[in-house]
Amino acid sequence: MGKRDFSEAFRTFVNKHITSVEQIEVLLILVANPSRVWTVAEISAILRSSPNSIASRLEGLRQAKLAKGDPNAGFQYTASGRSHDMVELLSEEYGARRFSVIELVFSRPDAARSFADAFRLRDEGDERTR
Amino acid sequence: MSGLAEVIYLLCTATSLLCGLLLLRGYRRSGTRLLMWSAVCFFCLCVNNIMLFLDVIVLTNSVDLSVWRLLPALLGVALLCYGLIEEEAA
Amino acid sequence: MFLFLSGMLMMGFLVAAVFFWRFWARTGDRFFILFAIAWTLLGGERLGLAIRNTPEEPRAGMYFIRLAAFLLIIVAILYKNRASSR
Repeated sequence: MGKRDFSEAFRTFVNKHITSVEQIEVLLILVANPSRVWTVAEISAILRSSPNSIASRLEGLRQAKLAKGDPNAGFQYTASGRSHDMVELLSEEYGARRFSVIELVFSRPDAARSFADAFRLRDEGDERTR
Repeated sequence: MSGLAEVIYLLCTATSLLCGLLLLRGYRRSGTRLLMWSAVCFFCLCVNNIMLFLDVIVLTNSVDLSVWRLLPALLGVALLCYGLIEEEAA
Repeated sequence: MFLFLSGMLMMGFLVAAVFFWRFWARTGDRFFILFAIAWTLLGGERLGLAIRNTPEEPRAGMYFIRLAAFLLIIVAILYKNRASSR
């Protein structure tokens, strides 16, 4: 099972929003309790990682509109609709074939492929139903 | 003769605008920098085509824009080459 | 100055064409062959205008080359959309 087995939409999602494995772990903590507000300290205690690092992961998730909040008040999961489906899929795949997901996180998106794909007039959303 | 040229220049303008918009949309989705440079390149080619149209059809060469209209095309192609090389080097 | 800039532009078009050719070799997507030919044609148009030493494109008849290049780009876009609707 290689990273090519993931759907186009999933690969785009990961390449665009996920920059590290730690970020996946943070995201999974948030999505496990969608209504709860988490502080940086709480998450860094769970993951045994530095608060600075966790704060920057949370900021990344906030920019990706997967989390909302700020370092003082804490962060909460916020994705809905299509992004939420992608997060669910990520959670599933990360459990089932972790190394393929990690490989995907660290691979750069193929620029040539995304160049050609840019000329598809149909919305990418259709791809999942294909 | 100019009738055909008009159609051709407008077609080129519309095509480059369409390519630019599609690539910009692609850049927003994937965040691939090459797509941003390509989009800018096509917008520059679009400006080049518009200037060509103005120069040849509207102003009927009364004002010579021949050097000026090359500049946006050159800028666009240079940025595209930069994007392509940056992509391959990374 | 026109000839100098035209030459630079030709070089730029041809460099881009080579990259599109390499993209075809890498991905096997025929879309890139069409793009590579289109950009080679745009480079060829500059060469043609430089040989005739005239910036007046309609009179030089070179706009047919430009037309061909942009038609190829349109064909490439159509190809991409046909291929994706399989």
